[in-house]
Amino acid sequence: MDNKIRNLNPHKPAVAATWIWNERYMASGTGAMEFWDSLSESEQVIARKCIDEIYFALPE
Amino acid sequence: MPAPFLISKQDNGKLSETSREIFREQFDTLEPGQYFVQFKPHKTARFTATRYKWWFDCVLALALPKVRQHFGMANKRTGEVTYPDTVEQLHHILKIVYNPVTIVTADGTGIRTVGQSTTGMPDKDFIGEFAEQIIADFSGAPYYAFPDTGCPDREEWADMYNTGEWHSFKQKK
Repeated sequence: MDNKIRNLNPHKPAVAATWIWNERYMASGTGAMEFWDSLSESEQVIARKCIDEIYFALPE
Repeated sequence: MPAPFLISKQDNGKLSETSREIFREQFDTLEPGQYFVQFKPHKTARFTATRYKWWFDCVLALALPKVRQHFGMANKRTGEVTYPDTVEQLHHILKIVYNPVTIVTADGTGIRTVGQSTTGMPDKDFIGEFAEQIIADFSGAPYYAFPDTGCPDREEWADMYNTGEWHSFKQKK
């Protein structure tokens, strides 16, 4: 899919990644999905884990 | 000690109520003494184009290099003429030109024309009249301030921001 369209519709772990590594995201000058693609495998695991933990956590 | 915290400055230039509470809470945790404070910008993955973000970062930032030499500010006392260097200075001048208010003293003297604040304007007036008139004027002679594709509107700008294209677009102009 075109990166522009992907960046406009980032998935949940990609959004989480922009918060976890926000300075790098800002410096990258890219959209959320391209930033996601630039992350290492282990970093992507952290972001996915973050979303999983939130999903199973109780509402505030 | 306070923890890192996230606050938002609103379009009206003020902190949101939640941000004010966060500030208060964080200051309450401080011991008396000196502190060095530094603000760091935060970018969200889903950026919403509010009118002032678009106005300052898109319209005025694109226009400033092309229009600044047309808006000299003369100091009446020294005669020195300076030109706007920042988008904030340009906005101040545009308020005087496009949204003026005349102050008249009771004895009829001391008449001054100043720029009226635009923060109280509804979007319909700000974008539909104030901004639109300026963009139209700056699009033609003698300014030609915008690229051939025209000045991006709020949605186009937000899309470019979200896709990471805005920074390079701005650099090229």
